[in-house]
Amino acid sequence: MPEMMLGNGIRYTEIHDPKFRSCLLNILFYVHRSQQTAPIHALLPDLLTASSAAFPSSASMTLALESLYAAEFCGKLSLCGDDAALDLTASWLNDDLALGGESVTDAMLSLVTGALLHPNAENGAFCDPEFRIAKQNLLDDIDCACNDKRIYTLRRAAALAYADEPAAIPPTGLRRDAENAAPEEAFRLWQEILRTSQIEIVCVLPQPKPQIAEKLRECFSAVPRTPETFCFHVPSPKKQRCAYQEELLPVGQTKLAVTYKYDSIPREVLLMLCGILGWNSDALLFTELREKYGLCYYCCLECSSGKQAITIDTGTNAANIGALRIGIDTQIEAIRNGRFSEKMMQKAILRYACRAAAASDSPYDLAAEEINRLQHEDPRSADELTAAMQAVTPAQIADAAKQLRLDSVFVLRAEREEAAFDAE
Amino acid sequence: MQNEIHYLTDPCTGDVCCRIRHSSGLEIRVAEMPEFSTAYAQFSTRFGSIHRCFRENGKTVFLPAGTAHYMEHKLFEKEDGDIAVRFDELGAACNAFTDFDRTVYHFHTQRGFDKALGILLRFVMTPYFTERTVSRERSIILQEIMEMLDDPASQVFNQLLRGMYHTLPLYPDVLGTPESIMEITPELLRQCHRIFYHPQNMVLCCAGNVSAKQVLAVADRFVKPVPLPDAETVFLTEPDMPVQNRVSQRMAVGKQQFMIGFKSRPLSGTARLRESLLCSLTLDLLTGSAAPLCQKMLHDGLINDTFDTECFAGDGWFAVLAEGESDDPQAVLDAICTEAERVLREGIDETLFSVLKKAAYGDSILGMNDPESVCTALTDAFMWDCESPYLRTQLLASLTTEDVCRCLRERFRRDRTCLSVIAPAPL
Repeated sequence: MPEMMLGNGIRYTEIHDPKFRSCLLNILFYVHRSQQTAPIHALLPDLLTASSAAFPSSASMTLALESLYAAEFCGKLSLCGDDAALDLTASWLNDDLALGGESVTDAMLSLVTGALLHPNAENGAFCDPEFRIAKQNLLDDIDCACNDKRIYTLRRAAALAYADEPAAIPPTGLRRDAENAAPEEAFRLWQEILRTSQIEIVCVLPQPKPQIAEKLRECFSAVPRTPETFCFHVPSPKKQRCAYQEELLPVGQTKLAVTYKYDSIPREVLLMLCGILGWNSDALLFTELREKYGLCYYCCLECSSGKQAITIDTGTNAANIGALRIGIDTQIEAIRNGRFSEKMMQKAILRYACRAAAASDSPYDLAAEEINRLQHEDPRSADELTAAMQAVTPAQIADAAKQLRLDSVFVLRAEREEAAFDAE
Repeated sequence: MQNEIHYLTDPCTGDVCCRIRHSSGLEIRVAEMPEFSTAYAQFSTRFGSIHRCFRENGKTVFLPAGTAHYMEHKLFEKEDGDIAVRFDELGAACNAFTDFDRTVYHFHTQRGFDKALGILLRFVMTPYFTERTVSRERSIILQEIMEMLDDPASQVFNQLLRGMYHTLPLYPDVLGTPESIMEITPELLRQCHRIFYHPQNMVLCCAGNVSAKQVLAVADRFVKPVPLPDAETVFLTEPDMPVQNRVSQRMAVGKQQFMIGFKSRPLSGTARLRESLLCSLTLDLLTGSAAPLCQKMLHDGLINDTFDTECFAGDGWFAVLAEGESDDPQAVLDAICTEAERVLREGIDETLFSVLKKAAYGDSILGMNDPESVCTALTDAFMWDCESPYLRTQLLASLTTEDVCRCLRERFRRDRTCLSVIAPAPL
């Protein structure tokens, strides 16, 4: 797996596997988050991929990509602890499958590097109507944040758990800041990002293609670089008292999200703890709360190791909320007291090992796995991490569970249920 | 009866799969992809949410909405507990889903494939339904239904289907309703299992790091011939016109959601696959990001980047759908109809047509580059009565601008539309 620096703060990793028919280029620009810049960070992936100076409308950009056998060039904002990444992905059919023998790779490299260095901008501002459309999309996205009730609950839970930290800022930013986003400011910020961000590039290819690293090196050499430092591990301070917040919405199902924080748990122990508590098929949250007591349809666990927090979320009727909260605490208490089996530990290891192995079957998963490893600043391979998990003892898992401290509880209350209770 | 084996080849990529008619009557399809580390298996039955009525030994049986989905949940539970745990022990990940026309049980693994396949075949073919376990599942499925009822994306679709179909039971949702699932009993599940989980009504598809020989050996061991039940599924004739032209409700959403449906004549087999590819291409020509209409609607603020289209087809239905967010969904519907009429009048942009065909070729090649996608393609081909999973590139090559014109005339009719709207409820 060749890894090299293409410039100051620009790391490039190339992975080869001849079984793939497509090429994947993933470029991440790491940025520090703030409330004011959040909406522009959310806009940039769209502004950079929907059009460019060479393809100055989304119609011409789409046409260019479609003519390259439905190649893709898209972007999103990925949150990484308190920071974020403008996460741009290009993928295209390998050259040997092109009907006319043309080089899809060369065309895509020109398209991507052109979009980065020469976006659809004039006189120091992104151009309309593309900027206006992207901004309206963002405002609509903010307005529709409540559409998916589960994601909405998790975002509100994050805002409560990480209050006053950058991680509390929603990925889209706030509406009032988004309304003020201007094309000049977006362009200025993009130029600053080109100069100051850490850039992580992962490329997955059927065969080595030296022209990719060369073209990217040439592209970024045009920018004077003074990269800032980024740390994806910024623990969230534990609250003195558990924070509790409720919101009423005209829905039928109540949602609950409970966040716990911890001091320091080694990655291999954390993977074991999460597996036993919520990720395995016989995880305690699933078997006890859903299968045994039928309290909910889902009870999921998310781990934010950079913030040293785990969040458990579920949806149920209001009458079950109390039982679910007690049930979640009871399962954590069970782990603290060592009430889990050797079999559950083995399954957590097997689950991790199999997932890591399965990643080699997809260019997207391979790239994501590599980026995940780099963000964790953990040099261990999947095999080495599996070996470390095998050495974890039940006492270490129980000790890790003892560290979990209830931090915050968010409840999205169902108005229709409340009304029904009132009527009774 | 002996096992019959046929090999099928993709003329474009050289990919090969084999099709086996197993001695039990089960159809088996295997794509060997030894260069991948994972193997996928999907064991599917033609029993989905639209199968709401059948006749057995001359007696008609009506099923409550959500029966197929309830069965899917309950097959995972056996006397000794949840079957998913057995897969977990092997390092395999298993799951299932119910759709309108099918229920699919699947797993993937890097190790112990034969054992995992044995578990899959046994647990799906072995019913274990008791009063206690069936009754306990109700509260879980009820929560799943409640979640779906709060989901505007599901509701705008379900509501559209209610507005479009008179007799075809695409509505209510695959999950059923809080009331309908109360009527599901262990006896009913046993009867449905006997009829719909018969090897001749099922397909086993495997792809990835697995061989046909391996699959066949496990199937020989666990799938035995059983007498064919004297039963047939019953569907009533579906009228051509939609039930209503507009359906709406209010929900907790930030902006008005819409889905437009153009109802048209259903097809089957390879003809349906070709027509679906044609419809997708026509939609891209008419409303795709490279088409003038999409640009105009975006510039006018009539739609945003959530706008999307698809061809929705199955056994007994065929429709073109367009969805998104808009303050004026009726104007979106009018704009699509007007553009279809304009294109028919002024002719098709030949350059765009060629580019989109090239893109569709790329999509079809890339869509068959991992074991999961290939396994799904094998299952789809069976469910759609297609001999081979490798027909897409040939069918795409056969599409012409005349086909597009016919598609616009027949499948984008203004008088066959239904508009489903979810308006924001006051928060």
